[in-house]
Amino acid sequence: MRTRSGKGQSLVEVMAGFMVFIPLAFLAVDVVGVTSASQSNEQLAESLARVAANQGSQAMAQRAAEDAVSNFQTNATITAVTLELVKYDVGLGQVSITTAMNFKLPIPMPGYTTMILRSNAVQPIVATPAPL
Amino acid sequence: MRNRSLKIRGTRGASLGLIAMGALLVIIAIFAAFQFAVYMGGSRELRNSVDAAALNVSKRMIEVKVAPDPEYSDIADTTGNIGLMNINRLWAKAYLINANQEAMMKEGYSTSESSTSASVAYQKAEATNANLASMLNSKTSGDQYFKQMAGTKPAKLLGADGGVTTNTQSTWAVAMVNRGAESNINYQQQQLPDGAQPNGFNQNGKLWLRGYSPFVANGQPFCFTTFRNNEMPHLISDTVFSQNQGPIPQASNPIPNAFRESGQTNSMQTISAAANAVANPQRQFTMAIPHSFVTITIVNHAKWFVQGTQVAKTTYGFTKETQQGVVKKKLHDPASGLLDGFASLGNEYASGNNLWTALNALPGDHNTPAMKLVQRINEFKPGFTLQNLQQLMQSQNLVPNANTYYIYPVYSSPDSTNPSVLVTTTPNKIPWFNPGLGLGSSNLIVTEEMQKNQPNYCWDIITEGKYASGQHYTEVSGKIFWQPGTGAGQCLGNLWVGRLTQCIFTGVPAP
Repeated sequence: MRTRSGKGQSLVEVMAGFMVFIPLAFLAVDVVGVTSASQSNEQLAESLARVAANQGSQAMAQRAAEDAVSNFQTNATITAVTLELVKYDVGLGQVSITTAMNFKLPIPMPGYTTMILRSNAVQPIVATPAPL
Repeated sequence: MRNRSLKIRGTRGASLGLIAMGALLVIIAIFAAFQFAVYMGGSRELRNSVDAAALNVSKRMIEVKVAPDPEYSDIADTTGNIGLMNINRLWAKAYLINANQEAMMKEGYSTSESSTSASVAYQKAEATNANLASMLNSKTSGDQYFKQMAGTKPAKLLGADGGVTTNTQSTWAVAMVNRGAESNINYQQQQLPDGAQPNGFNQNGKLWLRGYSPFVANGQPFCFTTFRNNEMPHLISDTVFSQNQGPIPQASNPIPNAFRESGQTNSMQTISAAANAVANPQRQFTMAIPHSFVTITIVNHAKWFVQGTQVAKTTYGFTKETQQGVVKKKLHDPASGLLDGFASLGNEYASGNNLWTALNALPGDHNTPAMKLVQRINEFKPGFTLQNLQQLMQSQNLVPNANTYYIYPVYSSPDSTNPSVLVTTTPNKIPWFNPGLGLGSSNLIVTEEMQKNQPNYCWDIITEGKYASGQHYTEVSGKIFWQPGTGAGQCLGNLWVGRLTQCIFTGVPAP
C-alpha cells in the first residue's frame, strides 16, 4: 500500500507540475512572438518614415510609404500590415507614420487569437530645400 | 515511529517542491527575458531617436544665420542673412572681386583703390565666415534642433523616464566631409577675368567649384563648402565622420557640413547613443556679383585750329549739326582777313540712332572693348554673349544730352539670380545703386582709324582778306579707354569712347 501510494503521488505531482509548466511555456512563446512582432512593426514604421521624409509632398510621401508597405513580407503570425496614417507636416518639418500589424498568436489564448500592434514613427523631412 | 513519520513527509513533498522551484525559475527566466527584450527594444528606440535627432540637426543647421556686411547684402537670403545655403555665394562674390583685382594687376590696371577694395572685400567675407563658423561649431546651436526631434521620439520601452535628450557630457563635433567634391556654386569660364583659375571640375556639362579644396586668388586662400548635388541631408557612419574631422590645409576657418551629437535617456539606467549627419541646403547657385553694373560713356569733341593754333574746343551730340567754332579770327601772314570756321558734326552717328552703332561709328577694333564688357556683364549675368550685347545696345536709342549708359541687372527672383539686363542713362532707376570704391586705372585699348574729311567736314569764309576761302579739312578719330572695376564698389568697369573731330583751317588756298 505504501509503495503504490508513493508512486501515484509522484505521478499526480508531475501532472500538476505540467499543468503549471505547459501554460507558462505557451505564454512564453506568445510573449516572444508579440515582442518580436512589435519590434518588427516599430522598425517598419521607422523605415517608412525615413522613406516618406525623402519625398517632396504629402501625396508623394503617402505613395512611397504605401509602396514600401506593399513590399513587406507577411507570414503565418504577421498576417497583414496596413498604413494607418501618413502626416507630412511641412510647417513642423516632420513626417509622422502610423502602422498597424495584425498578429496571430502562435498559441491562442482563451479570448485572444489575434492582436493588432500599432507603431508610430516621426522623422524630419529632408527633401525640402532651404528657403531662399 | 518518529523516524518513520519523518521519512513519509520527505517523500511526499519532494516532487511538488521541485516543481514549484522549477516553475519559479521558469517565471523568473521569462521575466528576465522579457525585461531584456524590453531593454534591447528601448535601446533601439533610443538609437532611432538619436538618428532622427541628428538628422534634424543637419537639416536645420541651414537656419543658423548671421548678418553680412552690407557689401554682401546682394547675396543674402530674403531675411537678409547668410547661412549654409549662401555662404558659398558670399565666397564666390569675394573670389570674383579678387580675381578681377589679380587680373587688373597683371594687365596694368591696378590702383591702390582697386587693391584696397579687394582686400577689404576679402576681410568682410572672412568676418562673416568666422561668425557663421563660430555658430555652427557651437553645441548650443545643434542642441535646440536635436531636442526638437528627440522630444517627439522618446524611448517608450524604457519607461516613463524614457525621454531622450542631449548628452551633457557629449562631445558635440563637426566635420568637413566629401572633400574635393562639388560645392553648390557653378560657374562658366567666360565669367572669369583672364588668368583666373579657380579649383573647379566639370560635372554633367557644368563647371563646379570644389568644396574643401582651397585655392589662391590675389594672394588670398578661398575655401568653399561641399554640398553635393542631388543629395539630401543624411546620416553617415562614425568612421567617415571621424576621418573628416581633421583640419583643411590653407583654410583657417572652414564651414563644417557634418555634425555629430549624442543623446541619452535617464530611465532605469543612463544609456546613450551618438549619430552623425551631413547637411545639404539643396540649392545651387551660379557665381555672380548680383548688384553690379558696367557703363559706356561716349563723348564727342571738336577742336578748331586756325593757322596751326587751336582757337576753340566744342562738344557735339549724336545727331547731325552745324557748328561755328571760329568767329572772325584775324589771320596773319601769309593769309589775311577775318576767318569764320564752320563744321558739320555728328555725321558719324547718322547710320543708326542706337548705342551699338555709336560704339562702332568709326572704323577700328570694336571687338576688344565689346568682349571686355561681355566678360564683366557675365559676372552678374552668366551666359551673356556678344550677340546679347549687340542686341541690348541696338535696342537702346541714343539719348540727347546723355553721355553715360549704365548696363545693369534686374532681378525678379527673391534670390537675385537669372536677371534681365537693361540699359539706362539715369542710375537712380537702379534700386540698389550705391557705387563705392574699386576702380582701376583707365587705359587706352583701341585707337580708331583716323578719317579725313569724313564723316564730318568743315568749311570757312574769309572776309577782308586776299582769299575768300582757304584750305580746310577735318580729321575724325576716336580712342577707346577701358577702366575695369573689381566689383567691390558695384562698378565692374567703365568703357570710355572719345570721338574727336579736328577742324583745320590754314587761311590760304591749298598749294
